[in-house]
Amino acid sequence: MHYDFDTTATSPVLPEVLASYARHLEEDGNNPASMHGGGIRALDLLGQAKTSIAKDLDCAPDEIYFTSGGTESINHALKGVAWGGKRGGLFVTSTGEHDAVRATLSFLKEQWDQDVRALPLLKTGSVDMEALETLLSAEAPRLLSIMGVSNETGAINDLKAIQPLLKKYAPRCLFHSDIVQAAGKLPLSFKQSGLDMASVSGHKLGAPKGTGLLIKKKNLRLVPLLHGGGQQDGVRSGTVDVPGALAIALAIRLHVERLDENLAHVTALKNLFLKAIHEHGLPHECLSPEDASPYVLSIAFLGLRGETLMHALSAESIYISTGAACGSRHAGENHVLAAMGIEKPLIESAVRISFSSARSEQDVLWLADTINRIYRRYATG
Amino acid sequence: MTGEKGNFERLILVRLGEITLKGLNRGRFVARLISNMRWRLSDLGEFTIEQSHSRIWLRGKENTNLSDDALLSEVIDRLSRIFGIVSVSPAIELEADWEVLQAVVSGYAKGLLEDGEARTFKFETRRVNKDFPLDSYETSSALGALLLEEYPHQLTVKMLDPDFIFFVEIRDKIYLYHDIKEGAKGLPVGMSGRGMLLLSGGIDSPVAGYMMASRGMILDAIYFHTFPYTSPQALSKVEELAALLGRYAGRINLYVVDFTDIQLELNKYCPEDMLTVIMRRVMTRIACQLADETGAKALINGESLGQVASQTLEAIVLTDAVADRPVFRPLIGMDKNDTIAFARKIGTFETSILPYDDCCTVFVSKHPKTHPLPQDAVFAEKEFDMDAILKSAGSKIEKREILPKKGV
Repeated sequence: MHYDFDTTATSPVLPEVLASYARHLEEDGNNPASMHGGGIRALDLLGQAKTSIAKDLDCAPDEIYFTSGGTESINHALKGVAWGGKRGGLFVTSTGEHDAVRATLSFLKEQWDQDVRALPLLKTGSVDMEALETLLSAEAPRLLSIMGVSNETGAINDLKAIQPLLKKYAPRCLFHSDIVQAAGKLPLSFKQSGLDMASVSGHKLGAPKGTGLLIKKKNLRLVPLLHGGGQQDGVRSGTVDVPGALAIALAIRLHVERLDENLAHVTALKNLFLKAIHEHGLPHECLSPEDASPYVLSIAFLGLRGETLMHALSAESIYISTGAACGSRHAGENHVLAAMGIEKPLIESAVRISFSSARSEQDVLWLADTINRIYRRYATG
Repeated sequence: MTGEKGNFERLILVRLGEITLKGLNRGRFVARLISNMRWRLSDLGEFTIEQSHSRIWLRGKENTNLSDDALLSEVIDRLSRIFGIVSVSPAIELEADWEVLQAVVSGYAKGLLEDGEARTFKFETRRVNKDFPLDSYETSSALGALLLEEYPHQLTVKMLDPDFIFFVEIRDKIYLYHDIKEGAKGLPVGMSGRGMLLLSGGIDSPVAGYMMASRGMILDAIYFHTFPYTSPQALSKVEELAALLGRYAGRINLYVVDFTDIQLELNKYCPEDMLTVIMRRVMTRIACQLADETGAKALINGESLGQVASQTLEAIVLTDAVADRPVFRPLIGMDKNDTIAFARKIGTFETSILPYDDCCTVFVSKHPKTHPLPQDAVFAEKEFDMDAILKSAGSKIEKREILPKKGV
């Protein structure tokens, strides 16, 4: 038994999803591109998955493409635009993005001479909208990629507020968002966000790893990342994983159905945790803004290194992280917190605690008690 | 094994260096080397090991076939990392018969020239057996002519620095080889007593351990584990380093000290600017205490003069002052870049730079005293009950036997 407070990194497959996934793996092994009965049934199931997702994320079914996960979707969106049409134009992003965006854009910058600029973050961890407006008014970018919710701090970017700016200054600029930490967790409509493309990961929502979505407007042409049999309208070749598609659809459905309930529960857990920490009198600083997604809390316990706390909790079967799992091997470094202007000693003390619907109030109190015990023993002031 | 003409057998020629210069003790050195070789090869098969003059010949017994290329290359690799060995060559032994020699040389060259690339070569023959019909020079010329005739477009004779030198030694049997792999040299481990290596997980200490093992020391290693300030991965990294070092030094007993409580006490009572030096003094005392139990007559560490604040001359004087035995610092005069190159050569660098903190990087003074005086140390330690610390450390040591890393 362990207490998983690291669900921003990944989350276990939901029991309902596992049951459905296993059944479809067993029963629906046919290729949706096949012309026989099995293929027709698989294609029908794929259609059902798309309809379900379209309803939950408010997009059209034919705007949905199944991928291997968030990283692939992001790579496809960014490279697909860069490699289509004439070279040039400006790609705009923020300094707070996930490595999937950062690394793809630096690849395009280095290997493709793509002009890339990163907008600064505010102290709250959200993108500086004034800087965005200034930039947009001066030059019209070809692509804007801004994440919905920060995987480091939970800071929310108001995507809907970006749309009017784009309309005003750069109507032809394409808008992509990494909504990996937003989809299924916060109210979100693809249509109303004014997005041209969005990337979603399945395993963050209780679907198996290896499932993901690229949602893109129908008339938007992207150069494929994978060439082959021309599946999914030639956008993403490769035999479609029908059980995987159904699994991510069901995971999203379960999240969206319980969205308000989960949000209320997780908000209560986060508040309970902060209250307990306060009552224990633990010197700390919340690095997440108050209005952040309650699923992610970045917090620094002064005088205790994040690594130390993480290891000590791990020894008691409580899992948290010091930051994004992709980058957490480099102790004391965090590009997002640094971009927020947070000083190094505070970054070294920072940990990321993820709250989820699977955790109870008792779990959270146990977490706070354990942190208190560890802090009293190991903090070095 | 049977070739087209006559029998030949694959074997390995091991050359000894410094130990052949030893006088009356030479037999002990060679015996130790052979015993180390047997131990390192014990899981690969059964071998006969014979010594003659400054060389050792190694053959596979019935169930151990050195014609198996994968086995041969593993054996050669392991032998080349055993201290006391200067170089190693896979070789062929055949009858002292001119006809057989020609046939075997032809087959031997065929294996090397299959890729069709142009190459230069020469033969070097040494005839000890004067009954053999051709002398050294005649043998080399005739064999050279034979190969030139067989590979007229591929081979050219070259006396200076050719691609291949085929060595032919004519004794009671004939030995043929061309590949000479450099060995680790030094003295066989076990001939110079036992040392206690302070192994941190950084770049320097494995190199220091290598250097002392190369002078024949058996290594014990001590690691100060400061969980949760240092991670379980940091401990695994140290085990990995000991296993990599073990490819040269043999089996290493790694002693893991649970250092957390002591570290906390140091943090509490020790003046901040003396923290690192005092920590090293405490570690040195614990290492000496443990060395008494294991029989290690010296400590070994990876310090280099002036590298960091705890490695200034004054700081070293203070650490040595609490040691009751010699502290060997083989890197004391080395440049960091040379140490890094050394670590790369012995294959520990990539593991050493894995980003898991050790206690020396977690607990560092912000402004350490670089020229501490003896009275500074006495003052800094006045709050400590050192006997109690040593006693508690002694009860918190776990021994792990680390075997050499395989398949690297």
